Amino acid sequence: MTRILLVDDSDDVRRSVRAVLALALADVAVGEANNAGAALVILDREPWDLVLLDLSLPDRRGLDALRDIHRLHPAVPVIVLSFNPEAEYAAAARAAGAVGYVVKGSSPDVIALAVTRALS
Amino acid sequence: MKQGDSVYRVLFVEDEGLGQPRVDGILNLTDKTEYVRATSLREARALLQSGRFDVVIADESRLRRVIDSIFTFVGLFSVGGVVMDVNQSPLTESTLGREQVVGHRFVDLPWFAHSAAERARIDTAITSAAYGETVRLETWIRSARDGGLRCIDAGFSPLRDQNNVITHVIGSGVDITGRKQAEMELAASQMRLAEAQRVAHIGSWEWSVADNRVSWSDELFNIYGIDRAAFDASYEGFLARVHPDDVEHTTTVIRRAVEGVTPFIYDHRVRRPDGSVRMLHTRGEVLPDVEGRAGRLVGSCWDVTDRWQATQQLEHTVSTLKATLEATADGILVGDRDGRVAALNQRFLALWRLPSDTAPGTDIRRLAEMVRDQLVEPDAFVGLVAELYGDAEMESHDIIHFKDGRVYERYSMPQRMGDAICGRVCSFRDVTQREQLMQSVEARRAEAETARKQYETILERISDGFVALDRTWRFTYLNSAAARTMGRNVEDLIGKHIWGEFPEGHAEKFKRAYEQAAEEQRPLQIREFYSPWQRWFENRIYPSSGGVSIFVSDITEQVEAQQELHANNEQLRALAARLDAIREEERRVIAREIHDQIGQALTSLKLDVGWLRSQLDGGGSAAVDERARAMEALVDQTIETTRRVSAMLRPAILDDLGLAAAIRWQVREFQQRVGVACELDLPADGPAVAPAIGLSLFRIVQEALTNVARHAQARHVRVGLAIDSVSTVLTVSDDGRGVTVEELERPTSLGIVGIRERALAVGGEVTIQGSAGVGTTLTVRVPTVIEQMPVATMPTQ
Repeated sequence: MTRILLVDDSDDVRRSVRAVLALALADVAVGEANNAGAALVILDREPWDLVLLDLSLPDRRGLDALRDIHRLHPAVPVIVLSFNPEAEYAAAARAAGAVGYVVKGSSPDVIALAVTRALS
Repeated sequence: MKQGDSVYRVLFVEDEGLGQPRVDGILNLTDKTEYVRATSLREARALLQSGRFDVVIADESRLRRVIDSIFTFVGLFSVGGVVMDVNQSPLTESTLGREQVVGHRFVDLPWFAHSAAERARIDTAITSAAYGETVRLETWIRSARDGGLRCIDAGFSPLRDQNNVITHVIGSGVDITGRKQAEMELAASQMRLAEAQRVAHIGSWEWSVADNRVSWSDELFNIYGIDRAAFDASYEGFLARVHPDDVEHTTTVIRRAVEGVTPFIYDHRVRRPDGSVRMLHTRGEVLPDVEGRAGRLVGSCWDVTDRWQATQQLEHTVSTLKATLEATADGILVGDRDGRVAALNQRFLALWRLPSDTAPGTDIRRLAEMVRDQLVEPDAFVGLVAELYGDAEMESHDIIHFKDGRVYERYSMPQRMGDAICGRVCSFRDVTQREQLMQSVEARRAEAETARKQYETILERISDGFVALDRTWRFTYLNSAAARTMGRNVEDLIGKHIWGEFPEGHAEKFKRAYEQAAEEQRPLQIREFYSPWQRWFENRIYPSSGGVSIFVSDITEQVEAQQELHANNEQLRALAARLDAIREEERRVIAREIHDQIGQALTSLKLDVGWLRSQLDGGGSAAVDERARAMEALVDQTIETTRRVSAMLRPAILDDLGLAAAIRWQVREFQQRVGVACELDLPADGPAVAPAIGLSLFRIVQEALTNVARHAQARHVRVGLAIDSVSTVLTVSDDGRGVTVEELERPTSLGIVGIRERALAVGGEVTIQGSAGVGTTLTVRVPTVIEQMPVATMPTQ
C-alpha cells in the first residue's frame, strides 16, 4: 500500500488529484491536509511514502513548508504541485528538498508519472 | 768807539810811565782788537793820519784822557770786586760822581740795583777773572739817569804784575742796547713775517742765478709739502716740484723774466709728494747784478688752490647750466630786472619762431610784440609780459594758445641771488599734444559721465536693489530701491562701511559670498535669509577691480511660495505614494485571488476533464471524446490567461522568490516578448531586500524595460542588481539611441517621472544618463533594508 499525503487548500483540487492517484496507482491510500500546519501534524502521526504539496498555502509560504517537511522527514519524498510554471519556482523547490515539480494545469498523466517516478 | 765796525783798532804809544800789565788788560777789551804800536809821538801821529783807530793808548795822563773820552766803560777792580778806578764817560752818562763809584763794590752800584740775578752773574764773572779767566757776557743794567734798562757787552779780565800775580780785575763794557733792540725787532719781524706767510699761504723765495742757489721761506716748504732737507735747493730742484703740465710754461715765464730783467706774474701748479696738486700764484722780481744782468730773482708764491678749485667748480657748474639750458626741451628765457634778455636757449627761439641771432640785451617787450600775431589772445599775452617785468616778485603759470593750434605752457618766476631778485626766468613748453590728449580725455570723461548717469537712471528704474562697494567694503553707489530695501537714505549710506552698517554677525553668509566673489573675481549668486529683517534675499554679485556690484532682490514671497509649493508637492507625492501602495495592495490581493480561486478551480477542472477522458478511453463516442478535448483545450487556454492576468497585476514570483528571481523572470519574459537580447548580472544568493524596496525596484525594472521597448531602439539590454550592506543598486542599460536631456526633463515623460517617484518613496535616488549612439543607463540607488523574518499575514480563504 502506498501512502500519499496530499496538501492543498482547495477541496476541489484534492478531490481531483485523489481521483488521478486512485486511477494511477493500484494500492494507494491518500491522506489530506488543507494547510501546512495540519500537514506536519499528520506527517508526525503516521508514516507516508510521498507528499504532494501545493505552494500556495493559507498559513505559510509553500517553500518554507517544503523546507520544514524535508527537514523533519527527510526520508519522505515531496512533489510540489504548483500553479506557477516558472522555472525559478522549480529550482527553488528542488533547492528546498522537493524531488519533483508538477505545474498545476498539467494533465493527469504527468502527475501520475511524477508520482510513479518519485516512488520508484 | 764806533758800533758796527768789525775790528776794534787800538794805537799803542809806548811810554815810560805806562806799565805793560795795564796795557794787556785794556787790550782784552774785545776779541777783535787790532793794535798798532808806536814808539814815539811822531810815529803815533803818522799812524793816526794814515788810518782809522778806535783807541789811542799813550802815557797815563794821555791814557786817562783817552779812556775817559771813549764812550764805554773801563774799570779797574780789586780782586774782591771793589771799584779802584773807572773812566769818566759812564759816570757822565749815568750822572754819577766818581766818589759814588770808586771804593764801592761794583755789584752794589745803582746799575745793578734792579736785579739780584744780574748782580750774581757779575759777581761770578769778577770772581772768575780774579782767578785768571777772561769772562765775556751780556748784561742788562739800569741807567742811573733815566731808569731805562740798557744792554751792555761786558768783559772781565785778570790784571797781573811782573811776577804774573793777579793783582786786579779789569772790567769793560760797551752799550749795545741799540743793536740788541734792532736784533730783537728783527727776530720779531721775521716771526711776524713767517706767521703772516703761514696765515696767508704765501711763501717767499729767492734764486741766486749766478750760483743757482734757491732759498725758500718755511711757508713755501709747507705749500710744497716737503721738508727743507728734502729739497734740492736749485732751479732744477724747484722745476722738479712743478706739475709736469706746467713745467714748460714756468720755464718760459722765468726765461723771459731773466732775459728781460722784468717782473713777472704767473700761475702754475705743483705736485706734492702725496700726489695732491696745489695751484700757486707767483709774483717775482729780477734784481740786476752790477753788470745789469739778472743777479737774483726774488718773489712770493700764493697758494690759491682753494680759489682755483672754487673757480673750477664754478666753471663746471656754469658749463652744466649752459648745457642743460640747451639740452632741455623747454624754451628758456632769462630776463634782467630791466626786462632785457640776459640769456636764452635756441629752443626758446625755435618755439617762438624768433630770429636765431636774437642777442642778450634785447628788450623782452619788443620780443613780445614780434610774436603777438601768432597768438589767439595777443593783448592778454603782451599785457602779462608787461606785468611780469613790472612786478619783480610775481610768479605765474599760464597756457598760451596759438592761432595755428599750438599750445604752450609758461612758467615764470623771479631769479634770486640770495634774498635779492636779480631778474626773471620764464620757461615755455610745447604742450599741444598734451592739451589735445587732455581734451580728448575730457571728452571721454564726459562721455563716461553721461554713460554713468544713463546707467544710474536705469539702475534707478529697475525694481531690484543695486549696491556698489569699493574694495574697502564702503558704499560707493546704491539705488533708491536698495536704500528702500535697507530702510535707509542713499546719502546716509554712501561712504559708509557695509559691515559697520549691517553687522556681519547677521550678514556672515553675505559677507563670505562678497569676499569670495572679490577674491575669485567671478560672479556669484546666493539666496540667503537675513534674520534681522526676517526676509529672504537673492544677491547677484559681480566683482570688478574696484570692488563688487550687487543686485539685491527681496525674494521672500518667492521663497515662501516655493516653500508652500514644495510642501504641497510633498503632500501630493505622499498621496500619490499612498494611492500607489493601495493600488499595489489591491493588485496583489486580486492577483492572489485569481491565483487561488480561479487557478485552483481550473486545476481541478483540468484534472477532472483528464479523468473523464481516461474513463471514456476506448468506450466513448468520438463526439464525446472530441468535446472532452475541446474542454481540455479551453481549460488550458483559461489557465494561461489566468496566469497572465495574475502576473500582470502582481507576479507571485516577486513575493515568493524575491527581487532577483522576479527580475530574471521579467527579463526573460521581456526578451521573449520584445526580442531584444538581454544580459543579467544578479546576485546568485544573499539577503533579500525588504518587500517594499523589492516591489519598487521591480516596478522600476518593468518601467525601464517598457521604455527600452518603446523608445530605445536597442539591440541589447543589461540589467544588474548589486546589494551590499549599505545600498542596493539597480542598473538598466541599453545600447539604443540614448535618452536626451530634453526627454528627461519633459513633464510628459511619465515613465521617468514614475521611476523617480517610486525611488523617492523608498528613499532612493535615480540617475539617467543618455549618450547619443551609446545608449542609456538608468541607475537606482536605494538604502539596503533586509527583509524581516516572514510572518503569516495572508488571511485564510
